[in-house]
Amino acid sequence: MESDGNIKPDGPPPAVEIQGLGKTFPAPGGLPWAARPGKIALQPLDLTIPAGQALAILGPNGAGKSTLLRILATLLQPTRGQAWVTGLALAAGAPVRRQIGWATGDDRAFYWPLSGAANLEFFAALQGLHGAAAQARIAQVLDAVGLAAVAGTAYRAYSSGMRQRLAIARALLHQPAVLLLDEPTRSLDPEAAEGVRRLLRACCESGQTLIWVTHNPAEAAAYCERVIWLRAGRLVADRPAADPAAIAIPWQAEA
Amino acid sequence: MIGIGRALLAFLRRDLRTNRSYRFAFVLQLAGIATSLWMYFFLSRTMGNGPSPALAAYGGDLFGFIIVGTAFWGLLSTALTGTLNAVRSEQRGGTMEALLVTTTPAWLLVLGGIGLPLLIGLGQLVLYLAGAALVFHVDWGRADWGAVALLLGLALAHTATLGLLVAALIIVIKRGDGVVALLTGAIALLTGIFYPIEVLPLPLQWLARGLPLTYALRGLRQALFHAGAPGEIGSALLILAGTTVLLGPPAAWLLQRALAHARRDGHLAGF
Repeated sequence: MESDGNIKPDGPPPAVEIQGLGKTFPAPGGLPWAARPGKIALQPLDLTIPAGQALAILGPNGAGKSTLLRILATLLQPTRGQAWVTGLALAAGAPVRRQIGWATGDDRAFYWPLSGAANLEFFAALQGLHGAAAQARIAQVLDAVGLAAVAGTAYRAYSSGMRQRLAIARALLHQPAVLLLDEPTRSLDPEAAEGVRRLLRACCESGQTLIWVTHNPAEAAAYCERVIWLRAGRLVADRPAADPAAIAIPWQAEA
Repeated sequence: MIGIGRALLAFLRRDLRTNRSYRFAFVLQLAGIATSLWMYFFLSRTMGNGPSPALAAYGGDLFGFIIVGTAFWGLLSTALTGTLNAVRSEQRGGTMEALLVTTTPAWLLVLGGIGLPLLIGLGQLVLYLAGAALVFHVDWGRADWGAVALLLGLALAHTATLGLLVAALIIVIKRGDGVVALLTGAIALLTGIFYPIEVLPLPLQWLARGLPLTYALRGLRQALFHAGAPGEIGSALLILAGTTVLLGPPAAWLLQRALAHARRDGHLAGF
């Protein structure tokens, strides 16, 4: 295979490979060309996530979970280290974004006057999906997330659960290899949360890799194969979800 | 190329659907245009709307001169303000990051965002010209509409390039109001919107002659009034096309740098 700087050369690539990835935000008030180091959000991290694995990331607020996810989504530039998604370096830009589906828990990330379907139609076009193929795919993902019946309803009229499911539908539009999920069940009632979890598990079973940030250890254990804990930007535990110790707060267990 | 067109169309469709909820704002815009037309009419009557030697190269009519300038300025300021609003509303609305994780390049996202403002600006320009003809009997009978269309097309492309630069600045400094106010003010001061640039002091005239939009506006007036030296429309077209082609790639590059800066600092969402 021909190699360029953005492709990791050796062997079939894992879904995600992270080597020494770290992030320090510049101190506020610095000039653009003379930024001073400020808050360390992520200590140098090494992690390999095989294709088809569901990885849960747990940790307290400010642990670096969302920072890691945003780096992998190419929304943040790491201060050090490298990461590859399906063998493509993050710096590759559009090709790596084609492999990523990003579902944020932020319900503002849609156009409120537009319907769910119109929102998806717009984002599908930006992912290069057009015409009948786009319409078919939109119908498919809306059906998968259980929103087909309210496809024409304005987003502003959606409940929190519906908004969360629409975010997942958008992430699934272009059939990415890796789903980056930032608290996908945040602020959902138990029934809606369960629906989202089952949907994500089905994605994983169909071969997609999940990187699932959550504050819910039980959710991590039940729906993921592997659980990692971050604290103060540092990886403090990495265990199979089947291990009962995986969901125990590591620093409390140590104490 | 087809991909670019489809992405732009998707933005246009999104913005038209969104703006459908705000029809009254459109009516107010029309009222604003009518008010301006009357204001400039009375202003030109006060100043004397007879043939003016200073305006000989532009057809000699003060009202017509100001209307074309105002319509052109409206197009530019609508486009530049539209850029500001497009970037800020994506940042404030929380959709900026959702856009940036798509495979569409950043420059195309910005151009898509200002597509509707550009079209609205163009529509306003047409309304100004139509209003001037229908209500105030300005004679466009000698206009070269082909040249007008070409000049406007290139002026739009040039403004879109300025839009990329404005977007880059907004992303870095987070508040773009000052940038847009400075740009629209400088355009009004230097490009001959309300007066011929020949009335400016010499240093400002030199500055004005360094701006492609000065030639665009001069060319537009000549195409509409069929006045001035032949060949000036051609020069205006060449200057606009050349500077747009030359400025486009550096503007897209600067936008990329601005986004890289925001990705490093973590303020893509603008906070």
